[in-house]
Amino acid sequence: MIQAVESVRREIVVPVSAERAFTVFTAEMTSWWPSDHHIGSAPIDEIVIEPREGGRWFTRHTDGTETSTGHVVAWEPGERFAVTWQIGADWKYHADLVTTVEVRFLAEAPDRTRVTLEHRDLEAFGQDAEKMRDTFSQPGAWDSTLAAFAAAAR
Amino acid sequence: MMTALGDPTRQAILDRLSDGPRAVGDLASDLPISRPAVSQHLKVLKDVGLVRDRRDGTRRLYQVDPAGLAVLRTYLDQFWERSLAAFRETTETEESSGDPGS
Repeated sequence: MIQAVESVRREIVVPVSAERAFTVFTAEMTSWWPSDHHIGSAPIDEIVIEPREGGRWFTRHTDGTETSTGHVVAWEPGERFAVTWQIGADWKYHADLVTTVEVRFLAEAPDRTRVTLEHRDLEAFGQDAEKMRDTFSQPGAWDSTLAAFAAAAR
Repeated sequence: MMTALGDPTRQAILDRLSDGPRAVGDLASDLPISRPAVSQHLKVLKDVGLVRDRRDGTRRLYQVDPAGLAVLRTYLDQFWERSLAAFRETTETEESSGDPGS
């Protein structure tokens, strides 16, 4: 194995119940997801997480096409869920590039919930890097892709 | 299961480098391929940003380069920060409007 890459960890406190926070995060993801963050050929119409283990996480676009992000690996309504994130640095879905996003909802009060997010298994991006390079026609395209990521992140 | 790197030899080289920096000759003695072949695989790994090298006296040592992944990690970290902030704003709007069913 390539050495592990430290997980991305973020948390936030929201002024609603854990059940409600879970619902907004999953069933209503379209309402808050950054609209420019998609890999389709047209804007986002709806982001869907099918509410069960094994369900798909995908985006339906305004031109009727769909793009996959991953699938559900854990589903505990009101408490936590985990989905795979299989989008590579080339902005494409890869069946064999598996990173994981786990989100937990901890009730601190009836109307206050701490939401923690962990995006882990990030070394998978490195394992896939060479294959991605093969999809580029020019030498150094991997570097320019990373540069584009860095620019987008600002 | 697919071989993530598409080439079992490159995977084997990376496996060995994950334990620490190694020289080409050192790697070649441990693998069923020639030293020039190891060098060629190392060049590919270096080109894609997975491996980097440095001079150590008369030797050249190769090691896993976490920098390429670091950019992606930074991107995701900032993406989730931005997204979670938007998520919180959505729940705050909902709370102030007093309409949790919207």
